[in-house]
Amino acid sequence: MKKGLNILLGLLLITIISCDSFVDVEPDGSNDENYFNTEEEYQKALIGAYDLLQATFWNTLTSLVASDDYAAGGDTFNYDQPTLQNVNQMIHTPDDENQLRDIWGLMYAGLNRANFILENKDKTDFAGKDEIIAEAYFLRAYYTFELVKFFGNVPLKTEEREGLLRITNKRILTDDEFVIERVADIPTAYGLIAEDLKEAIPNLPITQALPYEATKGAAQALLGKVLLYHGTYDSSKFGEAATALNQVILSKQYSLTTGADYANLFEIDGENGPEAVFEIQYSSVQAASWTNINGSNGTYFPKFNGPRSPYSDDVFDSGWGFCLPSVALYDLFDAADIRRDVTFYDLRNDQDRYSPSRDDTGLFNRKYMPRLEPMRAGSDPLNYDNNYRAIRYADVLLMAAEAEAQSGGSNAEDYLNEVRARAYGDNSHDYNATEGALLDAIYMERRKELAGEGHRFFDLVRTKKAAATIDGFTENKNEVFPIPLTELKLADAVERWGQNPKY
Amino acid sequence: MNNLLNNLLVALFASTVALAQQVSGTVTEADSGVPLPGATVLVKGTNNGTTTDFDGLFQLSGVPDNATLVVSYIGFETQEVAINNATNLTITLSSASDALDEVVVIGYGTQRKKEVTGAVSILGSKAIQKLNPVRAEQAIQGQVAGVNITSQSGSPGSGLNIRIRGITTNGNNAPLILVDGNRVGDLNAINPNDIESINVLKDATAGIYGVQAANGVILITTKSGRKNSELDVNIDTYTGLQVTSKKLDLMNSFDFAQYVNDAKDKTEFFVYPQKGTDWQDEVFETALISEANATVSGGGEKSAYSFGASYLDQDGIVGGNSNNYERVTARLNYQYDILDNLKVTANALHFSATKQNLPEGGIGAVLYNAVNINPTMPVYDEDGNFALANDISQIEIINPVAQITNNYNTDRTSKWTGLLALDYSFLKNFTAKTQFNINHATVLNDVFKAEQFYGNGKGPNTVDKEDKLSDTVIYNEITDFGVNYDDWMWDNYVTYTNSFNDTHNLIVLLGSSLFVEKGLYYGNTAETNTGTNMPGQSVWDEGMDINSRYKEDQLAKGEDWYENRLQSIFTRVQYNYKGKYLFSGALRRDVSSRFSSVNGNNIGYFPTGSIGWNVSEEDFLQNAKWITNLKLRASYGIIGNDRIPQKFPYITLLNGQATVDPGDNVSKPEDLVEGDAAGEQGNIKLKWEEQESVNIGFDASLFNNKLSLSADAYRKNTKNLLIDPQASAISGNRAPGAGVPFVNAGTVQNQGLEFSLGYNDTVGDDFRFNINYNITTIDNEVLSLNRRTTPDDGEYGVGISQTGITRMEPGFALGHYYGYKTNGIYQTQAEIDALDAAAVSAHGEDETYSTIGNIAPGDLRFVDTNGDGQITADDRTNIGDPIPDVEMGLSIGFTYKNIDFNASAFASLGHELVRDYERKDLYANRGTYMLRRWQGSGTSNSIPRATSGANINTDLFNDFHVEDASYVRLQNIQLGYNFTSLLNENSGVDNLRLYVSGNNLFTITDYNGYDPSANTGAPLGGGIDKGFYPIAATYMIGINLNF
Repeated sequence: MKKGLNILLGLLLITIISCDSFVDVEPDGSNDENYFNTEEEYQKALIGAYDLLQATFWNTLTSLVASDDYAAGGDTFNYDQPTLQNVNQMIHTPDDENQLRDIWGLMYAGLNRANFILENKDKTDFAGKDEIIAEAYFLRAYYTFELVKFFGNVPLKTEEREGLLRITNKRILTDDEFVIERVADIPTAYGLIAEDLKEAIPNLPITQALPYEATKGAAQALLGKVLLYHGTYDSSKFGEAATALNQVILSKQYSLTTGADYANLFEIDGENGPEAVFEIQYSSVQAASWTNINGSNGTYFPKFNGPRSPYSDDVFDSGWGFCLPSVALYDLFDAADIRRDVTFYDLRNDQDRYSPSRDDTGLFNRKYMPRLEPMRAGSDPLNYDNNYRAIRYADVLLMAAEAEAQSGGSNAEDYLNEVRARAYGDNSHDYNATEGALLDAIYMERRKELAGEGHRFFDLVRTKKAAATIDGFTENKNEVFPIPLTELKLADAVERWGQNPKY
Repeated sequence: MNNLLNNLLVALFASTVALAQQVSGTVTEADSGVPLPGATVLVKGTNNGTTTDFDGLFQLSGVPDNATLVVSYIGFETQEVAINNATNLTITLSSASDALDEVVVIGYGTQRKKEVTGAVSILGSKAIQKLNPVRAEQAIQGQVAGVNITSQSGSPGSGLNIRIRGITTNGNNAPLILVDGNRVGDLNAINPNDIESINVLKDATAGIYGVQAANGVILITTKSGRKNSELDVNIDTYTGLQVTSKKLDLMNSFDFAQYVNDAKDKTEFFVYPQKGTDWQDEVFETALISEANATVSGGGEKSAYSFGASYLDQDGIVGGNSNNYERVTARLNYQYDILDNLKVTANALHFSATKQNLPEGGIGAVLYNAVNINPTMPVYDEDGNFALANDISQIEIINPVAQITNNYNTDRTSKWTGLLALDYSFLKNFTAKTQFNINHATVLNDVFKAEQFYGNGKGPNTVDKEDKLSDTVIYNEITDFGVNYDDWMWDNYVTYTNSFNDTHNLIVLLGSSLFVEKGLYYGNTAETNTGTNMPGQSVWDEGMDINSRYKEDQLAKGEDWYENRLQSIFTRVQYNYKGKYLFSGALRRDVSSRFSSVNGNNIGYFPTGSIGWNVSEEDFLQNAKWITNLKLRASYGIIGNDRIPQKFPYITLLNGQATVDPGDNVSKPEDLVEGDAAGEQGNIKLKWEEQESVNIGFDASLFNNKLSLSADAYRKNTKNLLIDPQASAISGNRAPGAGVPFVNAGTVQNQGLEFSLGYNDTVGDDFRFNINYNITTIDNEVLSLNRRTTPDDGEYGVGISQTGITRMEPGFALGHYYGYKTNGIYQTQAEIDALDAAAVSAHGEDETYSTIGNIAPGDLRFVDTNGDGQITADDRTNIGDPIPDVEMGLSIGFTYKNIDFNASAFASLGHELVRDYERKDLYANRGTYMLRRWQGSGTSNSIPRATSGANINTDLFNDFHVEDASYVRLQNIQLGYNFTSLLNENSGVDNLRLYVSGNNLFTITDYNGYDPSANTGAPLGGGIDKGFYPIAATYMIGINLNF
């Protein structure tokens, strides 16, 4: 019996005395400190940084309803998507969260994922790393540009590098928000973005094996675009913009699609075609969930653009009835313009086939309507396949035309006419001085060519035409959106960062 | 096992073959003469024994003439009675020196009730039997002061929330539940009939359980056999009918048509059917419930056993058999004395349940659809097919009857529990105990979505069009989801007990505990868009393995796991002086795997202390006959909490979502490219949440134990609250799969009073009655919050909703509702114009009174709480909370000859629920309260006008949608008749009782929704009623048989 007693007491002692290592549970997988040891890990972190591009549909949706050409729409019985309604009427305030807070948070998330790679860019060496780093710079530029377009001179970590002010290659960690400051002003922010792109361009390939990855042309086009925006503050940038955009054109990698190919440009078949300079890839093969909308690999944007249910059609799915094109926009197009039927889905004679939205016009944003897809997985409408044509060659041509026109270049008219010729199938509508100033013609062409793609609002802002065009737009205020007040409070920055002017 | 079998056989033999002499008798209480049921009667020196029946009667066969009977009963002095040839005996038992010698289970040991210094409530098996609950929690509701039980749903097999003394944390508020010392997650595996006693530790003395005990501890002891007792068989069975305890008052088709017309400014006319459809009648059913339960117990010289098994079959009041729940439980308790000083205890428990789930509790639920669907729509169209809900544009609202028919969603749960304990006494004063528990549970959920079409664009459609045969877009989907839960716990402790000169009584405990819990989640989803239904299957076959139906490339698989560990040592010293002055002090050191070991953040020390004074033992009260017992007591302690859901919260794992479509004709999920990204950020500084708890109280029994009183005042301050906060998004925490780390922030306080009273007496010879009442007050307030923004959660509205309507904010209850206060209705345009004019003069030209939306006569008048002359978002304020201010329980019972009666009621006062089950859509039905709506100046000052578009009444969360949900509910009423005395003495039946019983037969409340007692259990947002499945009113008939 003594033996039993001893065993029992022995066991008891063991468990009492044993050190605290019993509670050590090894976390599974990688963590942020034991990573970046192999090429594969760099590649995987880069995929992580690309992933947030899929979240930019919020940006497109918001800028679309901010413009003069598209009404918010939505459910008539509710104040459906209040932030979109407010943005639509230009009465949004710092209390508006929803899409504005999504854009703020998700673009910073993308920026941080790019910085995760850049922070560790020197940890492990291998052949081909320069391209990965270049793509990370491109992505950081992309996300930062979105932030600056929407919120102006946002808070960023910056430092002097090789005599230039650069975004610091470090993540913003929890609690950094309490010390980080806004960059000096919007032009400084554009400068930071341009430097990232300039660092990216030399190491990016002209073509990529997989369409999702950024090419040299994409980075050059984005640089041209950033410089064009910068031109609003510093007209010397127009010349630089023209140079960058001309490089894209001269690379001969891209061309405008015509005829039936153009008609299909916004269909699945038209994805990643010759006109695609940079396209954000979406897929409907994986089911999505409401609790993780931004984790979807499809886009939710088309669902906003569909006519409200009950609605039945052979081509399009029903949707929420947002982003309603104005009749005035429709009327800008003449019947010979093949873009009209690509831009609009006209149900004005079929208004009993769907439930009208608030501010129903009978017209829908056809480019990004939800297609009935044979393969769409899952039952939630969050994962449509429609790629977002982020930078189209037509956009590049029109940006180049504008940059040339602004900087005294000679190709502006040719570039404009190339876009028009595609629209009408011939050169019958080439620019003619009698129709007014060339620059205005270019602006009008952008409005029509890129209608429904989310560029118009920012074009009006940077060309300083917004106040005259958009109802409710207040000058020196609505050029940027307010930083959601909650975000200012969370960073304890109501005073330190300050709200954007006049909000 | 052999031993058990032998015992069973011996016992069986003994009970069926009559030997020698038969002795019968009655056992009564000495003071009152009341019969004592359940007293043990044993022939001295043998294992021949029995227990008294409901009337205190016993019968023993084979008793030698010169035998002595040993009669014992807990709380009474054991009596030895020589038979001396008598065949009928009346044996009276006196209260043990004090009835409070009753032994109470406390942490890692037992204590005489008299010496308990903590706030402990005890519920015995009799009290449980009276309530006839389906789940053990239902037995606690209303019976124990300070314990609040809310239902997550009235559907069969649903869980209940147990909250002891308020809401103490933002996280998990569930108490620690130990069944025979084995930690269990919830009580669903425990058959109430198997429970011997439920002890609820409510104050700091629970701190001996350290980190797990901050929300209180529920100790359940299951029935065990008695040594030297005959085979005893109990059979309890009942069957009953359930109906819904409530139907909402909804508009009929005429009122609805008129309402829509009114809302559309009298421009919309439509033909309505005279009768329309009462959708609630279509989905609610009278549902069956039945349960059979058997317990066998007994014991020999050295061993005792108890075995119980039960079967429950319950249909849902919504959808009937489509919402069926089937439960099987089996339990074995076995004790064996290996040596005189070495005892082994082995328990095993099995539970398995199958539940047919219907969507419930919110958007897409059957009841949600029944409430909201247009009452002018028929269930079936002219062709006999289910009618399509095309006349309501909201995509989630579908024909609920069709929904029930198309629903295939099954949960299968299986649990196994094992417990092995050794008790060893040595060196006279020492006992050592080692106990090992192991639990395993598997929960499998299978969902099959067949081809279904509910109307154009409806969310639950799996095909895009009705004429699906001509369409290529057909798909069906199966989801199999499983979780394995495994845990084990190993407790070791030594107890030293000694008494010096019968004056100084000392118990010292030293022990340790190791705990490991693991979970493995795994899921498979598969879908096809080819063929009609399943590949190779035309119909859903429940439980068929998904892997055998689908090819590998059609399956999407995922899995995740967690593991938490806890290492603890603890000690406790209990001392009393002559049983008068009581002292207890405990210290526990816990180490948790949830926190970082850097700076010792994972180590917590939790001290508790309590004192008591048995005033009635003092000389000056010795002569006060009317006082049997009076004890004053107080406790103080700190208890920890580490229960947060984040895995490895101290480190940033790269488990965020990072998937990209490569863009080259992706056709299946595997073609997507997977990367790595940060998940939830880590917080290396995270540490224990700590609760400081104070309790003072007294217990008294007066007038020969006829009256018992108990009162407590408590205050619990929970500090360093573990909060999942909002944080600035610039650190990337809004990325998919990412998140903000938990932080320690803030303090919440719960304080209140508890009072319970019990009275029992006998009138004449045959009439005995008892009455028990308890009342609890809870005052919950957030004291501080060291974060820059207020944590909020909860959503009002469906689809198009407002988030963050419940908050945690200093000065208010945790989870209070945050919205606009109203004071009536704008009656005239002139009234609004005057307010606008004032706003213009105060704030300038383009200003209006309401900056948050246009207002018109008939709209709710929001209160300008900050008095700035305008209604802005800043006017939102506290408009109620779901925590009751006062709770009361009352039960009464009597027996008269063979008749027994019991009734119990529960009241919860001062809690509010958010009425959020009505879809804000013109063509959605709504409550008849809207018939009393504003229809012109002076018509109503409480119900706003009908509107067809966006407006402040429905779009902005305000107190019109917050209702007082105070209620009183008759929980149970039961009438029984005992046939035992009518039976032939040789029948072998010890007890036979028939009863009829009703549960939840009525509820008094002003609340409009289905169930004023419902709550999701979430600290923030738990009281938002998206259409809680109502609790059933049940009519039962049952039998208790004991032989």
